[in-house]
Amino acid sequence: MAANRKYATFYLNGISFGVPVEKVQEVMEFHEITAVPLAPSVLPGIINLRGQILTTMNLKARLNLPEEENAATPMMIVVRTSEGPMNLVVDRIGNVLDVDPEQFEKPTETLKPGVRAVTTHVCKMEDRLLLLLDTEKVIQLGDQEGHSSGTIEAQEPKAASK
Amino acid sequence: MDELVKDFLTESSENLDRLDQDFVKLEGEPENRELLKSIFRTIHTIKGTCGFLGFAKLEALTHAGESLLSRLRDGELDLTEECADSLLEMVDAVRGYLQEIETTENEGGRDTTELIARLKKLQEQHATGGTTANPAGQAVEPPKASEPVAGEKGDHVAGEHAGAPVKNDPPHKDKSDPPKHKKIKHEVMAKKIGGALVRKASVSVDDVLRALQMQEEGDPRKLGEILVGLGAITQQQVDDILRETKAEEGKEAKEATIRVDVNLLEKQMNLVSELVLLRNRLLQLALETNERNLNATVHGLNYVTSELRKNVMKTRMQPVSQLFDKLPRIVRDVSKDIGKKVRLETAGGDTELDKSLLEAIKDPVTHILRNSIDHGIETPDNRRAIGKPDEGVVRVRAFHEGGSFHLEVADDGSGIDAERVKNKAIEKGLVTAANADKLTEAERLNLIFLPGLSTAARVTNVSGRGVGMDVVKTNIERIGGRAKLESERSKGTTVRLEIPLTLATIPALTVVSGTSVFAIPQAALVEMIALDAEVAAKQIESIDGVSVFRFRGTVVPLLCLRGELKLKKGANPDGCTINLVVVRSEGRQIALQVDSVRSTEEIVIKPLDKRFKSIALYAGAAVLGDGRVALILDIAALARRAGMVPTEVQRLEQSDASTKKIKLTLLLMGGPDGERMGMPLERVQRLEEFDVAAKEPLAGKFVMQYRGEILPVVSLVDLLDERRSQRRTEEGRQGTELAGKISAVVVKSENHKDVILEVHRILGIVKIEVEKLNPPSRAGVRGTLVVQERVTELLEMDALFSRLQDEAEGEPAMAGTEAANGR
Repeated sequence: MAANRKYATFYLNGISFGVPVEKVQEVMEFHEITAVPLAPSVLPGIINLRGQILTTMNLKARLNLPEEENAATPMMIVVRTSEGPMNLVVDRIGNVLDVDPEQFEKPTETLKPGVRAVTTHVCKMEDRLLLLLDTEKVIQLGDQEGHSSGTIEAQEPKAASK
Repeated sequence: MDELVKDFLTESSENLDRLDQDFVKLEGEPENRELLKSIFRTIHTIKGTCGFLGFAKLEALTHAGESLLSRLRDGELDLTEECADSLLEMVDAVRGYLQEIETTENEGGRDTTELIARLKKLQEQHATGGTTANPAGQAVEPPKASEPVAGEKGDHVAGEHAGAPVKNDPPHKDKSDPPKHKKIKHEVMAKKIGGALVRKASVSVDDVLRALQMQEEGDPRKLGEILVGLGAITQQQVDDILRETKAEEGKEAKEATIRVDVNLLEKQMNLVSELVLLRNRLLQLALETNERNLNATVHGLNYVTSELRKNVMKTRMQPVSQLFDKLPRIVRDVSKDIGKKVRLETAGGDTELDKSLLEAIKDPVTHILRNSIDHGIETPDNRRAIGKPDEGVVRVRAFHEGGSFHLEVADDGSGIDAERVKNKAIEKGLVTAANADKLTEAERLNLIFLPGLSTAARVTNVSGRGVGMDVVKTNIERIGGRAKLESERSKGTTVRLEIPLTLATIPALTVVSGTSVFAIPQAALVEMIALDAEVAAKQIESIDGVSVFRFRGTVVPLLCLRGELKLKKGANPDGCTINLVVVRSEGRQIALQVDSVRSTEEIVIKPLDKRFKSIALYAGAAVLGDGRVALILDIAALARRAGMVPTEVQRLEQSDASTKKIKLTLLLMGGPDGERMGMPLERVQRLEEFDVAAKEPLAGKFVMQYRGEILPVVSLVDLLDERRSQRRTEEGRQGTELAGKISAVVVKSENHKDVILEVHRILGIVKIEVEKLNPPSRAGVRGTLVVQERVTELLEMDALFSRLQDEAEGEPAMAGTEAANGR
């Protein structure tokens, strides 16, 4: 039987998501985001992490989840990707969970398309569903349905500025 | 790639660079055996290695070259020009192979049979006896140079023939060196072995000379053996000295330098930059705490960090001689090609410059040098006629000044006729006569940097194609440098380049717009202006919906950074002052309106995520001293966005009052009723012919797929308002029924998408001079002119664009067009 895998979990609008723990560079408090004007809303800007410039992704916008009022300050989770580190803005950080691959299930049809496109598996935990994200897919913008919004926004400012 | 092959490539390409130099030097002093030997060794080494690595073609080629070289070296052949040419050609071919190997890891299909044959033929010729370096003229055995690198066996004292070179010799010697006793007498002390023997083993000079003499007279024994035989020294001593000498040699070669991966240096540089920033913040914090020990430590850190930074920066610095070394070959080739005599003088070769910058100025400098030789230096006959020496001189000088690296290329040639440059620029429509007259002499000369301008009366294969100086300027500006040109008639021309020392940090102006901080590279900065709102109202106006700012007599497009980037209005401390930053890029100036100016700072440029590339307004990001992040504005992109400074037609309208003639280049077209129409050629991207079918209906209009873009198609008739409605009703039918071709002009636009203008007939291109524009005949026409004795309507191109835009917004708003016309 395959060994359990560790996932770092976090929450967006109360839904719990997980990414493989080895993909996580660090988890941190909210840093001030320097806005990049005219950038798509999925990528609101950049942060200075110890002198390194990190692109920041609004994960909710990326997954087409509604922006819910959140009392707490969001958190940031920096994931390692093939294109360098990416800083994801999330609502809340959860525990690191051991997940038995036997529990993996294919993403169900009921998931919102924006979420389903980047979800590799769904895990039924005791009290909730854990959606496992493919970080490589998350950082690719505008190649599948569900986040074409990103590309439209990227073009919009250009057209409008004429 | 195989490590071995990689090493071979690096080493060989370095050696080849030296070869170029050596060859050119050799032509000047054909009897310099040392040079020949050095060349020979380089080729020999390449041959040996590539044989080992299995590059057969390369081996065959270098073998042929080596054989010829060995005969040259031994004085059996004279170095003729033909010889030098073939050998240089061989060097180029070798370089070609090496490049091929680098990219594909094998030799590729290059065929050098002819060259090899030529090298062999040259080799068979006999010396004319003109060389004196081989006075004995003794029958020399056929060279054994083509043997593989001399084995270890021949590599002891005995192998050290008397004629062996003084220094720079690798441990392996070639056995075929004939003795050349005349020189030796003066050089005994300088000889490695001879000298060492005398110094360390107290052998007398006379003994050594005697031994050498014996060698010459046919004693087959080696120098050391003879000396032992003479009882001047013991075998033990000889062996010791040989070992010592070899060890010293090896040490020198090994310890002086190490190879370091450039990426590693890059990383180091980044880390040090971070360290500097951290130190800055720590300094700040330490000051706040007022803790004595901490403060002392932080100050220590401060010092070490500064030193570290300086030194790491230094590791990236390279002497400009790396570039200079390549120039003699260029001078030789170019001057020979066009039959001129040119001497190159370089100075300041030890001046250092960041490696990447050095790489970046290589092409521009080469180009300037070619230009100097091709256009600057006169032919020997012409020079003689005006009392100059036959040989022209090009001086290349590098030096540091004012925190920048400077490089000058000066020739003593004919100089540049500023008047001719000006006329050419006017003729090519790059500048108007009126504007050109306002320019100073120096400014006129510098028109030469405009794209599309070449003053060469004839195009040579060296230069004169009209691309060149503008590319030089663009390349230099890209790295934050500046190019200037000075020239005096019949005295010569000097091109000066000013380059920042390093790209790692750049000075930048930080400005605030909205709530964001932006950095503008200082190199692009022209001037900062704070305007009172009232004054601003007078100096800022709108032309065709583009804001312009009157700045020292010129009209500069104005961009409001906040508007351009759609920023929210931030806190503006002095609301009644308008802050403008005038910047320059690619020869254009634009004014940027910002909310406030912050400060100047040294910044480290960090690349931005490629996902932001599509915005195309940022050159990167930087962490400022206070830890904030600023986006670095891409001035070139902003300038392009701001559009061109007023077009010729606009200038024409402005110059109504003056009597000066304006030169215009027009594309002439036949109108729908046979009338003549024209549009400024500068607006024409291309002339095309399309199938009618290519015109596709879309949303009540027509579009065409053109070079991967969907461009709107507008019929010329549409521009002429009274025919417009009539046309509208016919359009649908015509579009589907007509077969055949459409003549079309692709009209370019700075602010909008290009537009395809469908015309009836294209008549041609004319250059005209006009005094003024007569009033327009109808809407859609800017005015009328007489061209080739026919009344010609000058089309209102901006109306074309503004109408398209209006239509895009859903309203065929005529009012907008008229407003533009009525201006």
